[in-house]
Amino acid sequence: MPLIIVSGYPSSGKTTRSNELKKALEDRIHQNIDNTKDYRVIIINDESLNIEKETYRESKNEKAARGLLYSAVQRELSKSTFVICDALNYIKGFRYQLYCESKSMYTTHCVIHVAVPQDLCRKFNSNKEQPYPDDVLEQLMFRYEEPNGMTRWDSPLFTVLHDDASCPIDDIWSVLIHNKNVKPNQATMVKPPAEVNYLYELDKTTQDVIMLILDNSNDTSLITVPGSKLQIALPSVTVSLPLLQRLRRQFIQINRQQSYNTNVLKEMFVEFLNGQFETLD
Amino acid sequence: MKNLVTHLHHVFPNVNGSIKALAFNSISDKIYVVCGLDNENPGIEIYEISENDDVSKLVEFDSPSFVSDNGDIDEIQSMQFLGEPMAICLSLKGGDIVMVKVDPSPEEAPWEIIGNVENGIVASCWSTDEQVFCIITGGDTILFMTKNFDIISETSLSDADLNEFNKHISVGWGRSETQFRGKRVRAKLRDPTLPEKIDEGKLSDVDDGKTYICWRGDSQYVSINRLEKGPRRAIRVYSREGLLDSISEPQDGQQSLLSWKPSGSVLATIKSDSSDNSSKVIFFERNGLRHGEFSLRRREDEKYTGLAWNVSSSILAVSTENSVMLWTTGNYHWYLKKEINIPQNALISWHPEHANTLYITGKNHIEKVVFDLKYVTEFSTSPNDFGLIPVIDGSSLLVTPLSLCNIPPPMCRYKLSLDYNVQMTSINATSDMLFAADDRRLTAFTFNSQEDIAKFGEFDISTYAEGLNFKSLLGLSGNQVLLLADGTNNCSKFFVFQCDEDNESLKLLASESFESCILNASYCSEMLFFQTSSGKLISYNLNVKSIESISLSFPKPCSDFVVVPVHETFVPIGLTSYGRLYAEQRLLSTGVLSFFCTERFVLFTTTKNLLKFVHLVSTVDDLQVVEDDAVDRHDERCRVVERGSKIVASMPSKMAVVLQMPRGNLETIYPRIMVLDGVRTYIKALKYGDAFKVCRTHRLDLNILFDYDPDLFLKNIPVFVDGLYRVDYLDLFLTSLKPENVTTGMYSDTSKSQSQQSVTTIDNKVNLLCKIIREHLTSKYGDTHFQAIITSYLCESPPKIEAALGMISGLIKAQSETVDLAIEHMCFLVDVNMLFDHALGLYDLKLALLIAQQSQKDPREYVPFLHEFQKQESLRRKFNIDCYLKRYERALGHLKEMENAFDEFKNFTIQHKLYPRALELYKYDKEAQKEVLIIFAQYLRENGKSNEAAIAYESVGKISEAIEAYKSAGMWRECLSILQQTTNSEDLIRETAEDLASLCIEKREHCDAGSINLLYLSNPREAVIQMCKGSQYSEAIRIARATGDSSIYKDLLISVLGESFGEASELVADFRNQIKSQTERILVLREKKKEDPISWMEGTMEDQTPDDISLASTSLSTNRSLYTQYTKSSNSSKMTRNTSKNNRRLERKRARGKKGTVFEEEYLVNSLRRLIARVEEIRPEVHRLLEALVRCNMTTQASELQRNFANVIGTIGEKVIPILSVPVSTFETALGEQPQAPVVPNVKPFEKLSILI
Repeated sequence: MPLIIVSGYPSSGKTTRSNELKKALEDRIHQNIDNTKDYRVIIINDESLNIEKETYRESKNEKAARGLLYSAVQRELSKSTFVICDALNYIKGFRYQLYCESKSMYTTHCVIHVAVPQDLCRKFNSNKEQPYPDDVLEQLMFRYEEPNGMTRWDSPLFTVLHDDASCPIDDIWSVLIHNKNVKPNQATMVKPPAEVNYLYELDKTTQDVIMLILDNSNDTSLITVPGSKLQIALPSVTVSLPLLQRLRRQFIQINRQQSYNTNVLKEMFVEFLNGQFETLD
Repeated sequence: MKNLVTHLHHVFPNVNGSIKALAFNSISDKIYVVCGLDNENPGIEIYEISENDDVSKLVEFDSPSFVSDNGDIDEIQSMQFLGEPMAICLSLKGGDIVMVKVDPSPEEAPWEIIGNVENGIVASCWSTDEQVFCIITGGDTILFMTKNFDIISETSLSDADLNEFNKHISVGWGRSETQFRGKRVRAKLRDPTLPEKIDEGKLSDVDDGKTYICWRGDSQYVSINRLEKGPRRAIRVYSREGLLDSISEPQDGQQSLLSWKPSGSVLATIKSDSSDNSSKVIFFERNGLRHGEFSLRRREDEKYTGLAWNVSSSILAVSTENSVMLWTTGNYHWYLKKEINIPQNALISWHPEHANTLYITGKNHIEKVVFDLKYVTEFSTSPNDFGLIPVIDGSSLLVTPLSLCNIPPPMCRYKLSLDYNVQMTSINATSDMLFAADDRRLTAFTFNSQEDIAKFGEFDISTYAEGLNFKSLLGLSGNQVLLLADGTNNCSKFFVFQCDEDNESLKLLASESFESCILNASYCSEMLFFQTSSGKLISYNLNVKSIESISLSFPKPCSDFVVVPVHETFVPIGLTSYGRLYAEQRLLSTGVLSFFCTERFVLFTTTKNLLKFVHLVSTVDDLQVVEDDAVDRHDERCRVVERGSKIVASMPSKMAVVLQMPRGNLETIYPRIMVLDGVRTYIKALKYGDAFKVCRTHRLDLNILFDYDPDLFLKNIPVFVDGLYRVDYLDLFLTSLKPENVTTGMYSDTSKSQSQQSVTTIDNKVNLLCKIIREHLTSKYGDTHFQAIITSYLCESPPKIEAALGMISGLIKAQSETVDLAIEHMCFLVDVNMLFDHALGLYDLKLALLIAQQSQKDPREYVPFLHEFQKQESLRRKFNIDCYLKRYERALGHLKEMENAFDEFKNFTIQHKLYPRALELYKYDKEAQKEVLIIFAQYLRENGKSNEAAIAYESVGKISEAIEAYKSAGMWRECLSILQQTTNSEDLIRETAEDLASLCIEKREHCDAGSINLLYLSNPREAVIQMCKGSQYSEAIRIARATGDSSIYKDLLISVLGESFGEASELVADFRNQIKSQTERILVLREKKKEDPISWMEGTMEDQTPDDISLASTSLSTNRSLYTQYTKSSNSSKMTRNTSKNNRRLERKRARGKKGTVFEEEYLVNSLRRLIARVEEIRPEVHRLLEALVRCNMTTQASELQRNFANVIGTIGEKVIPILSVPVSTFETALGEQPQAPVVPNVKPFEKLSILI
């Protein structure tokens, strides 16, 4: 369920920290802490997606690789999966995108920043079996956008130094498991569809009331509307069809955009007419 | 009876072009006119005109299709503003339909040709709801399209339709040919089924060949008037969907104009009637048949340019080339209410929403005229409230003073013919002058209630009409009149003229121009009030001829208003077109149909069929308007009237209101509030005669004459009596008096608040008024108003019949000729038999004879009867009369007066038991009083009052009788004291004492017997015995020791005490045994009931029969068992068998409490209760016995008795009380029903003598 975004310089030890975190999380899951025995932990990184180091040389290829990474994260996100995104994640826009994706899934997220000096990264890179090319390494470190804990999408932020013994697993567990009230934004929620025959009902109901008024206006000043508890109180002068039609158009124009239950349309129209008749001068 | 009054005649500025059509925008109150398509301008221009005279060009466009190939220019056929798309729809004769946006978006084209109808458009019209567009094409088809210009239907206007629908044949029944008129005219008979004349549809000479379309008010049907084959004109009616509904029957001279009444009842068109050389409006029903007509009072060949109903179907406008006539109808008569000059060939059209707004379209400008239908006046004050209502009908003025006669129009009391069509009419403030005018002439008439209406003069006002439109006329005081006119630029002007009879010229008294538009005017106390179009009031003082500043205004402009003087202030009352009634800024009511003002009230009728009255006060906020439910509370300010009633006039002098019904007939009502107000006014002015007449006419309770102001009435009795004067009036008043105040209930005065009403309570009101009025009548009208005096006697409570008879006796002695009348009057008021008896009671035989003669008595009965009395001596006669009337006490008095009648006196007293009265009569004659007292004592003795009889006998010295009476009463002290005083016989005394002692013993009064034995028989032994029997042991000991005989003390006293001890001990032992056995039995019964309730309920608990014999109780087997007591049949059978006989048997069973029955427990419980009562009863006796025993050294017996008695009481407290605390389930107690909690007696411990062990 939670999303863990690991960010840092290339060859800074992100995979090492991710494996360490995975083991610690799995230990807690086995112990059924906080009823998480059904949870699973998955790491998504360049190795699991077969992304080569040369991909980061050209922006076009890098963009495709980033899309691949994003799709993998999106697929794995669910309510019972720890997803560890072990990648460069050096673009803050990309981190924001991941943050929004986790938010839309009603789940928590955090960012782990593996903070290692550049010289140490170069040293680690030279010792790797599949190192980054030196120019690619330098460009990536140059373009790196460090996470900022003050921003919404980069918080909560956990910084792990290269000489730290382990990640702060207790704190990470607490913010991921104990914080449950994540809700998507109002603007991104799906709207329920309106009734398909609303406009027809609006037109028909108002027309029926007007025909009722025309049929009875000569007999009485109080007209009982069938299907409604209200009565229409006619003014003392004759109510003409052009006047009724104008009031009806006004009512339809006001209520065209809103979706009301068709059962209350008649009563609303009767109330509207009574109010208009009251103010006739 | 309403006339058409012009509120506004406004001329809009000119537009630059020739106007072809007009359209209304009701949403923003604008007018659109279209110009063009003529030689001056080949394109189309649309102008927008707003209410504030702002004229602007909306759009201007041109199109090649507007010009045909041969150079002819197209014509505009119709124009309509559509509210939904906010666009103007133009249809051209060539077939183009153009939509013009009135408020287009920036990227939207302002105009657009929607399409083209091939063959061109002959006529077109949008439906009233703007949903359907109807087009008559040049190809003789009718086309229906929706608002989106989709075709609904297209039908051919086929000639074959005429044959199909032309089936209008009149059978002609009721004509003169169908009536039998004798054999002589048989030869002239013809076929009655053929009418005299059949119209063939001949065209009128002035037919213009046009086609007109008109929709019905609810847009369900559309009618077209066009030339058909023949040629003739026919009106076709189509439904909304395009189906042909009907075709009208042929009419000679039918013209092209057409207008369907918005209410839908008739279609109107114009006919040239050659038979009488006149033009007529004829009406068709939807089915094509004729339905009425009226004459336009014009020649046959008159050319008409327009025919239109207003939106409320109340006014029909007919326009000619030079004028427009406005017609209204009522009581099946058509009135020409107004004729307005219009520009040459102008078009007329009504506003689609405002019913009384007419637009006149000239060549270059638009005129707007706003009308209102109203009665001539809404204010009247007495004594000039004749209800004078002139009604305009063309050149005639129909006038009826409604206070003198109630004649509904079109009939009238006076018909005034003038040389011109009347446009305006009015009456002056005092209703003695009438005015009528058009835009050139003013005519004045004088009105007198005793004479006919006379012409006062005719005056020329054309010189004042330059640039103005006269619109309303208002009569002021005397011969002054106000003319109000509208000018240009939204300004108004008024003139005040004085009509001079001699010179036949108008004298201009005042004139003023206003910069704003004045709607109407009102006149009040030399002040003119004008209402502007915003509702503000402007006042003009006629005395100083200047405008005065006031702050009166209405929230909205009122179509009609009146300013009423109230306590030196002015209160404006106004009514808007939509039925809102305002008093200055305050809204009094909504839904008001009409209103009227008098000096004291505002009257108005509402759409809820109510007529309401509001008392006029100076402060508008203090006006009190009652709620609609005041009718149920009988509030005088509200009453129910017929639906649609309107107030024509109110006449306070006659306390009347004239209402007009929707059909036109008039009704005069006398509302209670006006009648009561009139009565109150008369009372305050001491006009009791007039007040009485009003009460009598309208059947008010006459008590209001007194109850309204009792103090005023009591101070003015002479005024009241003189005011009524007539004997029958006074009789009516006196007989209607009753001891209640009608002003606090039935006739509550609503003009005063409750706190202000001070009710003077008059006790004995009826008798007081009768007495006071009688005193005045006697002193002033004694000789002539004897009947009223008699009535005042008889209306008191109780009626004073003797006094009235005494008065008649006085008349008899005076030998007055009015005796017979007086007696006749009295017999009418009182039962004659009772009157005869009362006359006899006065011992006036002559008077009784006269009364008997007035009755239906048989002379052969009463003449000898009275004659027998006449023969007797005076006292004997009175005695006999009193006996006849059963007045025995008075008869006894007369008997006493007679000589040598004492024996008869005594016998009469005995016969009628008049002893107290007899004693009273002989109060000062001791000997006779003694005689009476003796017979009275005898009566008392015989009726069980021996004590009083004995005392009476003793007082008169009858010793032997007294002694016997004392004996009967058991008063031994009194008896023996008299006996000792009056006799020396010792034997007699002893004998009497022995009798009395025996009597006391029989009545168990042992102490008295002991006293007698001690005092009079010298028998101390018997005395001691009796005292002990009466539990007075202390007295017994005293007697025993006082005698000196020691044997009495030692032997007799001890023996008697021993007997008492024995009896007490036995009683206590009985108590103990009863308690023991019954408590044990009750516990056993309850245990058994708990274990086996079925057998207990069945009553077979103690069944002693052997097992081999089956024996059921006859009575108990019919009772309910535990399982069947709730079934219906079981209850019914119980009810059937539960007769009184069975009930008595059950009651006896219950009383016996037989062992083993269901009644045993109840019996035992009640027995224990009675035991406790007896124990409490003997408690003091036991206490005295214990004391006596101790004093006589019988300590052992005393201790034993005390211990046993205390134990009994203790046992009661420990065992019996808990048993009594448990509720008892009786036989009638159903299962589940909780018995009532029993009342447990409180038993205190026995107070022991502490000296005993």
